[in-house]
Amino acid sequence: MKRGDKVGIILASLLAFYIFFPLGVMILESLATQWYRIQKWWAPEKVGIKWYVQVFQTPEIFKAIWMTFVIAITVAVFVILLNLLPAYVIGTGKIKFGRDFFETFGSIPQTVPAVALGVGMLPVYSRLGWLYTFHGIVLAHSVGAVPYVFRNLTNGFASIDPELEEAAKVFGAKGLTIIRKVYLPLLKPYLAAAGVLAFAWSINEFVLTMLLGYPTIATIAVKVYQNAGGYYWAPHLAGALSTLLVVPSLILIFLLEKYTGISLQRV
Amino acid sequence: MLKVVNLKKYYGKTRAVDGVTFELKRKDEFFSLLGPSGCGKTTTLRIIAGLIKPDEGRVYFGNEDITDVPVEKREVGFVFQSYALFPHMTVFENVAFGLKLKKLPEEEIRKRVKEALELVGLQGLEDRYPRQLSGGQQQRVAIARAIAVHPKMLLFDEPLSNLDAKLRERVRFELVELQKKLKIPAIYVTHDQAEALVISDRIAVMNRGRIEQIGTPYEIYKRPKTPFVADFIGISNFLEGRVVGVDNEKGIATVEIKEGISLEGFLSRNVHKGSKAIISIRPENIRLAQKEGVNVVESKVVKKTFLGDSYDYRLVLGDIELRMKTGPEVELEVGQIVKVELKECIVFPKERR
Repeated sequence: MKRGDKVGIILASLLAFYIFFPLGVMILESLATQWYRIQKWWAPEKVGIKWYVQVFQTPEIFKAIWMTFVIAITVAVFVILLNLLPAYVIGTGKIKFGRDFFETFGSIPQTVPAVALGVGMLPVYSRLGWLYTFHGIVLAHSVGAVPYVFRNLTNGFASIDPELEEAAKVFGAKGLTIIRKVYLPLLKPYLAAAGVLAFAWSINEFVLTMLLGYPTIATIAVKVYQNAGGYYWAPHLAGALSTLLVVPSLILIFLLEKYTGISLQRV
Repeated sequence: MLKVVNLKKYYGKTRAVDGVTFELKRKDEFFSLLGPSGCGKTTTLRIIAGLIKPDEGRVYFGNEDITDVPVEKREVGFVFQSYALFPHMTVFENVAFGLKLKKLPEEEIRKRVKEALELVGLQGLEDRYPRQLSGGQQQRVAIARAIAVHPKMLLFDEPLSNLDAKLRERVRFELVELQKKLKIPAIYVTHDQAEALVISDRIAVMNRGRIEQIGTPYEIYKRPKTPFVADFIGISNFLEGRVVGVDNEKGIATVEIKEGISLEGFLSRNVHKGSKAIISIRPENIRLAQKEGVNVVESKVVKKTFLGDSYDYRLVLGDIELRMKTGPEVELEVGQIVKVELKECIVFPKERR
């Protein structure tokens, strides 16, 4: 083995450690109920699910958890419904324009700092009275979820042989029957991917929620911020909450890869 | 039977179908639409199926005008180029698709699916998914699905183009056999002239949205009405010249193709003495001649290619090149001067395009 290769392997291991280190600390924080004082300051003396129990027993935090998932599911469903028809006409090539536009510019809302988007939304929301409202937050989260969902659904529709729709028609199907019997079953993996990504985007969204929703709408992400020093110093609660934030996304992504074969690397 | 009258379909400035009219004569006629890609054959088929609405023209079935009948009510069996099998359904579910939508009783559906699969020789594969089948089997499922609904007519959109050459040749005959057994009219779209000649009762040769000629395979091959047909079906040599004599009674014209060399050929359409004309000759209709005579010319062999069952010779007649096809026993050498007879020439009026 060449020397450069060895160095490469060591660096790769360090990178892997670096990537997962914060997650490890987070989980450790959430499970440690007591830490050693002076020596071995980095190791917990006792572990347990105490903080998780506390999280669920604090009404306002419990409400935030509940709110987070309700918003995320609403965002996923809403964005999918919003994108179905556009993805159909563009994905099946019924209209020739649009795809490139979305491919090129569609992910801008994801890549610009959320705070900038928030600044753009704030005056409009304030004028419309959407600040601190459920639908306001759903709409704000949806902006960033659209590109994921659009891309997945467009790819889904594009992967379906247009002659299948014609075959369904020739053999007596129309409208809803075609959607139910042909498109939906074939779109299932793409719908799942789109849904998971939109869901994950929403539960991870912090800045817009803070800017446009708080205090009426507080999600897990907001509570994590508050407990991690924003308002209080309670890293153990923040850790437990963060774990609750991360684990559902990880499970969903794992299931998605396992059952639909859609890898997030390709998304 | 099926009749289409003056079908027109324009896409912007492109005239995909530009006045297509034809009528099926018999209940079990196998009718082909043959032409190069973009000639309008598939669009015509789709108009007949109801998948595309024509801009103008009518489609009749029997005495009924079905132009405005929606596709799902036309009761046609369609075999798609990609087969268009539903990938998430088993063979049984694919074949039963149309039957279930008709809300037939379970028993009847089972019976019909079994019948259709037996007809195409696929019994026992009911529970497979399309991806588990070979191309040839998938194609049979597509045919079974089309016939299971007991359609009024069968429509084929280049159904054999995705099969390998050997299989394609076998399936051609099976298709015709099946269709004659079912006694329903079939319209078959293809760009493969050999395929069309083998399977069709009649062929409509299409070009640029129009029908150039309708006829039996024999007529289309032997008596092409236009240079396009002569060129598209089989291989033809084309020579240009001036009409020097017309015998309308016999249907023969004489065309001078070079100073002192004139050829006689069958008239495809009326030509006038003195006007320009095109003569077509098939390579296999050029034969070695022993003695002088009508249509016998002297030429020089310039190229010789062995094709297994035949020879392909290039001859030159001054600046005119001719392709000659002979049996493998005809041995000529490059450079040799030979007398050849040009048989079954066809004379076309030269039109400005």
